[in-house]
Amino acid sequence: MHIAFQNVSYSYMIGSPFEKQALASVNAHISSGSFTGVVGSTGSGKSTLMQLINGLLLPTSGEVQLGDARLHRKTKRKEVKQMRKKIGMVFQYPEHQLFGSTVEEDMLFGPRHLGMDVNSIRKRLPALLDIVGIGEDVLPVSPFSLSGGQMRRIAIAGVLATDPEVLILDEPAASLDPAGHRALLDVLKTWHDERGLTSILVTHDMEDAARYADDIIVMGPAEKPVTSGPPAEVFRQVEWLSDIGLAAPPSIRIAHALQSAGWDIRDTLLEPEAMAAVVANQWTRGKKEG
Amino acid sequence: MLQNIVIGQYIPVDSPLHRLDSRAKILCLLALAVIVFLANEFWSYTALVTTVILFVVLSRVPLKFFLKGLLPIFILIIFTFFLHAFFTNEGAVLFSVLGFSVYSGGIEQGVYISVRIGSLVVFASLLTLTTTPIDLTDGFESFLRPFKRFGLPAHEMALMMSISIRLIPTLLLEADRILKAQAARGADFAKGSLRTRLETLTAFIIPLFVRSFKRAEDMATAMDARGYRGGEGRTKLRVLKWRARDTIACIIVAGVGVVLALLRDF
Ligand SMILES: Nc1ncnc2c1ncn2[C@@H]1O[C@H](COP(=O)(O)OP(=O)(O)OP(=O)(O)O)[C@@H](O)[C@H]1O
Ligand SMILES: [Mg+2]
Repeated sequence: MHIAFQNVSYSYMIGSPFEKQALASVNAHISSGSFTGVVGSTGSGKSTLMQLINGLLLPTSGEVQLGDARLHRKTKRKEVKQMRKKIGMVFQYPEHQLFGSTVEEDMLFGPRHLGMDVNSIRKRLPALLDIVGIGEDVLPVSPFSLSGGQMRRIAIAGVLATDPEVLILDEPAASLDPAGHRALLDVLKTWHDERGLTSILVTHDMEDAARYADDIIVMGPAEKPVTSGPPAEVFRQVEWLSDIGLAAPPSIRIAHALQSAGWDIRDTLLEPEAMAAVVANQWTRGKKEG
Repeated sequence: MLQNIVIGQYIPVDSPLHRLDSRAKILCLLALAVIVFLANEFWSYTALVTTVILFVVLSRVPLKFFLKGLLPIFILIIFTFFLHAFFTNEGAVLFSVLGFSVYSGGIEQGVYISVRIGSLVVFASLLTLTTTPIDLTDGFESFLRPFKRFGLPAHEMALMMSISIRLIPTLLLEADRILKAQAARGADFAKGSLRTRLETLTAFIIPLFVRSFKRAEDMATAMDARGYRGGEGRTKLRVLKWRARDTIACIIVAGVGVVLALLRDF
């Protein structure tokens, strides 16, 4: 589903002395079927932008387009709810939303409330758990008896169970160990590829953005609220990124530095392992030539 | 969803009332609560209303916040107004409805009583609108301290109060996040059968409790780790300071009391 933001502004607590503008005239678009990374420093409005996509927040002004539907200040609740069926959203710390007395009950909460066929989904639960790397023996267990990482995976599987067309991931892997972090994002990326979803990944980790995203949206300061483009283009602006408190991934920064020092590095957007190989290769060749 | 709730009551603007010591403001409020009942005829009520308007202007708090405070007790005011209007049989008969005669004295009494309740609420709002919750608890604690020798845990009570006040915004934020997370999973808090609504409610309450207990535990650990061991010998980072302006404020309020006492009918 194609998603576009047109002059979207959003302010929290409007009309109170604590009014706070989180987004000012944002224009951006996310093409159908893409895996888009959203990066930006803390408080730049990433989570706010995500909540505007599924109508948890409605723009103070401007309009969000989702396929043929439009969300604006006056959109009716009913339409919003209709939209929401197509959008799965994994919040920061999704494990905080668990409540069921069993894992199964919790995972079926979404499908039941969205009016889906609960019985057929019940049969799919073991497969879903398997995808996020958990055995089906946890189904009858209380979610609160599991570890934090397991709880997170179950919460995510519960969102996948609703079979969304658009998947919004707000730092799904924050505070997991490095291996768990990679594993979880790999799972979500595979799910995205297999189902042809439109996915959006909010992350603090530039390495993740470079590794998984087809497109990147950078949430910047007020004068230039968003910039977007493919990773290669975005990460080329090393200086601008560091001006707004972000940094390109280390491997890309090193590649750029070596390039400007005259090294022959053509593709600066390789994954860290590949980049290491290129650098090592150049190094040994340089030594031989003297 | 919960974003329109103004957290606490405090409105952060700078005004003479904001700058007063919280103890002075509490004392003045107590005095005013008595003074309000001194008014009993036209001129003393006029003096009372003038005082209210003066204080509101002095506080620099936008009028709508006072109206917000008055709204919940509006029904009470209307009710007492009609009660007096119908059941006071003084003065000239103005008109009759449904066999009840309404006297001019009744209308007069109704207006007076409404003004009295309204003024009380405005004075109470003035205290909470111009004093930070922390200052307010500090103020209360210093008034409770003398009762410690009778076994009143003044410090603990104040600590409990300030922790709860401190955690209200956090709790609201947490509640907002959980509401949103469940709404994103299809929960509709406004519609549905009794059974679905009960389930949505559980889906909201349980995570909120789990998080609150977790937070309380973390807080206790953090306090332990920093060596907290109760109120004995504890000093304060922010010490309340009684200044000349606080004495002046008290004198002004006393003056209002004297004026009203002189104006009233005995
Ligand atoms: N419920 C709220 N009420 C008031 N202000 C809010 C609320 N949520 C966010 N804000 C403010 O809006 C701005 C944007 O917040 P947002 O959560 O969208 O940022 P973010 O980019 O997701 O940050 P992070 O990286 O820390 O998650 C921040 O300045 C924040 O203080
Ligand atoms: Mg965020």
